Amino acid sequence: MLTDARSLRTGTQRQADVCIIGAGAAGITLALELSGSGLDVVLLESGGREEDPASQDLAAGESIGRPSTTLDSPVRLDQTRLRYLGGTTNHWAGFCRPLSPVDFEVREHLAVSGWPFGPEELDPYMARAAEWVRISGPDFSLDTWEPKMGLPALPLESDQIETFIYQLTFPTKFGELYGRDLEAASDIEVLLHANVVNLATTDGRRIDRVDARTLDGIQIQVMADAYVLATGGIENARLLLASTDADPAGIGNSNDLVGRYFAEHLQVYAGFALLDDDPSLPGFIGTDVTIETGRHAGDSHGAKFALGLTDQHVRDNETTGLEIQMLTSRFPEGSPEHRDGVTTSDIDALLRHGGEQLGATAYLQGLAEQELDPESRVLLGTATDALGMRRVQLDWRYSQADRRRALDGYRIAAEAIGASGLGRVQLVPGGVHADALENLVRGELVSVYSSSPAAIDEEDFPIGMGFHHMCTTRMSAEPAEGVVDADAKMHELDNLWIGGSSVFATGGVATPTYTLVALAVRLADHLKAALI
Amino acid sequence: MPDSQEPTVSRRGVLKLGSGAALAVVIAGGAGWLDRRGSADGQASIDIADLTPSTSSTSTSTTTTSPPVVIGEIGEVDAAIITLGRRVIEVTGENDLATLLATLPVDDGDPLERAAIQVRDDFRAGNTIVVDGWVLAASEARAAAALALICGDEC
Repeated sequence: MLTDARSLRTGTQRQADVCIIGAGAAGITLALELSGSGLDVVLLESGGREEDPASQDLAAGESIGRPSTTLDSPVRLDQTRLRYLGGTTNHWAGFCRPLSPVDFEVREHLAVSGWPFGPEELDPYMARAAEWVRISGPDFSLDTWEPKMGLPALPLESDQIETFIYQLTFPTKFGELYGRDLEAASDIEVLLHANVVNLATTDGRRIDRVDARTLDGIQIQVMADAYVLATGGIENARLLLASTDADPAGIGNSNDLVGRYFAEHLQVYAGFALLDDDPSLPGFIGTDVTIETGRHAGDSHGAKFALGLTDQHVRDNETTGLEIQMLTSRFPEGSPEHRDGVTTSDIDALLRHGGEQLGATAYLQGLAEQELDPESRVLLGTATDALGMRRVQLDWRYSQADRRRALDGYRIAAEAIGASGLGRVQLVPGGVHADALENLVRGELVSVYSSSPAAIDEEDFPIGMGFHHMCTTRMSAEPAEGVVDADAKMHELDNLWIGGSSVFATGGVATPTYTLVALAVRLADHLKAALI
Repeated sequence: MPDSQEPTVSRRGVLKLGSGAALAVVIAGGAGWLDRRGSADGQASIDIADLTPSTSSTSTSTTTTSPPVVIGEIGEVDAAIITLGRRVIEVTGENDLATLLATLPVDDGDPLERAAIQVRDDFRAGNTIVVDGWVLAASEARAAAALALICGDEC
């Protein structure tokens, strides 16, 4: 059932077994997984069924840390997430891949790392998660996907770089896809336009109720046996910090860890590759595949290749993860615009001799893992929003070591491509024009460089934000190292769980939605066991 | 992954190295040039000692014991490779022909195959030279530099 909270009388109270805050990928998955279990669910959503500027403005905040793009633009917090039914899936690009085993491991060379469990703990939930995100299934092996895509993987002769499989599901807006299911569920009530402004507690150990308000002033309270906060990597921390009934530091924040370790995927435009016209290359653009089993059988979705550092390389070289999208395209007139130094024509001659046509070309766009830093964090600013809540200050930080590791990873990829006889790579970290990205949509590579490659400062190249907000309530075995336990329950509270990528203990390089949906499925099973 | 010592390179890989004979011969011939005596009959030759630097920042070996290098053995050289070679010299400062050739392997087989193996092994070992961002196998970069020095203004 969907209810517009603006139609309720102020002072309305709701009672439920489970109160979920936030109707995004995690919240909707959790609510529908609980449906039919005998548990009544109230699902609170800030926005309505469509995007609304007034609701969206509640997400605005101040970026006081790193800029978010290669153009040195500050992070626009009202653009990185969406406040209406379906949450940020409403602009999700639909890339799905599980975390790698190494992401779960303790890596002694990093200050903070390791999950309280290994990847095998999530394995039982990945198939159900695949259903929710509408992909073929939890198998991401090359052996499965080469025949399914009808394309060979790049013939890399390397134990340091491998081909990753991404399953693509787009557009997969959870509000549109599952709105009817939510509406039809007799044991779920979705309260739209209900903005949670406080998690009420008297002793700091249990949540007594949730206070919500509509933008036109209607006040609602929800009481439940269990509460799940699933409002995203930034907003989860904001609500915990802003709920100060028992402690001015916020809820579950005795160790001052709520909001810390804010992590992103570092988006690095590092140059391009001149490649042989290998039959593998279309696999980097993507192809349609048919879902063979499950409730979406017969539907189609996409799949594509990417390159990435192997887990073994990450371990052996004491580094962090990197994956590279190869955005294959062609130069409209056979060469890039920049004319300084060694050109693609020179390299073409090196590879082919005799002035044959250029081979395939590709932008290299990478997502790199950043090392967790406690000073990279979500804070509350002094400005307030329309509901009187303090707006977010985001102090996103990454280090020169993060930059260096990303560039090292690119160099490893360049060497693997060369060693495999596939072509040559030019590293121009951060040198890609914004115009180039627009042109990419048209399938052309132009205006590749913001300056000549020799002028690029490899120590200070700009890094973009992948818009994957993670780790602000990270999962840990011990309260001193994180905010939630292995069940995603807050260490310091008895009845508050967290959903979404804020519980990631490390970010890895895989896009987070598939994993956070699997965690929501797992949490549903956990709550059923705990409450029924 | 194949054993790095395995001396086989697929024909596909060879073709992709594919810079005609010129680069491959220099890569694979490398140090072998220094041991040659005289030039083949009927082929044009340039004495290293007589080479004129192709750019102001370069100079060539004047080792009197160096043998003549035979352009005919090298084959046709693409101007783009000379451009690349000159840029390699500018970036690395490696402008001594005898030294450059000495870093390259002695010819012990088919030049194309030997060069492909050397390039592959360089990449595998991380033995690369970065020029204007291009990550190149050290052998191919040095061979291009050697060609630029050998040819001077003649190519």
